[in-house]
Amino acid sequence: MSKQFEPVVIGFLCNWCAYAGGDLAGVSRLQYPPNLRPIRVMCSGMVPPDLVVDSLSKGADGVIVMG
Amino acid sequence: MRTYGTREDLYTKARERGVVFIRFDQDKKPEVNVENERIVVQVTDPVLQMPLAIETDYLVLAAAIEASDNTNVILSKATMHLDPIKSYVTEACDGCALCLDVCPYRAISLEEAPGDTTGARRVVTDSALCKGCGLCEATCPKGGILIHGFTLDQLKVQVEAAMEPIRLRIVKRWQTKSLVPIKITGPSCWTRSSIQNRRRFSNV
Repeated sequence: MSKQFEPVVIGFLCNWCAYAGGDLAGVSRLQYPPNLRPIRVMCSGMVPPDLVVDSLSKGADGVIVMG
Repeated sequence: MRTYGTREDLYTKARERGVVFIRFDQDKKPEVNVENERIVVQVTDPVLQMPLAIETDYLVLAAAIEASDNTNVILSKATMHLDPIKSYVTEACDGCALCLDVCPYRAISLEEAPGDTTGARRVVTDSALCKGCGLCEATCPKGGILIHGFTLDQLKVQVEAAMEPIRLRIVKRWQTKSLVPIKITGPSCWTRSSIQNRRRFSNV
């Protein structure tokens, strides 16, 4: 375990704001660490609590809901 | 030039090999003439904005592609990318009406279940009002209402796919070092035997 700890964060991004922001970052050629795994949802309110628990149980170190 | 699928690679390769692609407009189609026993193709290049006369040894024409009669039927079928994203009610709906309160667009109403005489009710969505935000899907405890392209299963699979490299890395670490399961203060599924038994965490 000499490697530095790299957390894996599942991100649920609202289609209209956070995901659009991510898109803009891409177009502007900004970079962010690859630790975030973005998943597009139609609204941050559509993420069921089940799914958050599911993500953590599958090994995610964190879940962020952005919207 | 727009290509679909992996044709983009072919196109790039062809460009690298020196193939010249010239676009033409429908009202300015290329003309083929024979001058001095040689084939000459005349076309207006939109990039150069100039008419070109290309002398050539061979002229190979691509076979025309005609759409079959039922093409419109296929196109009319809904696809995720062409259709606006909407909610739909499934058989699992038992009319508990929890979704009615959370819908910000008041797109959901309660109705008598079709063909039911016991007074059972189900929700109905108004696709004109629905914006596909999915609050109903997150609220429904039974999967009775879902969003096209964003069903619970589809979201779950996306999470699974995102976590797959991590899962493989952990499995590999255990296999190569034959370690006693490393300390992960998580669910009980993170044991070595459960990986061997299950190999997948899809149902944890």
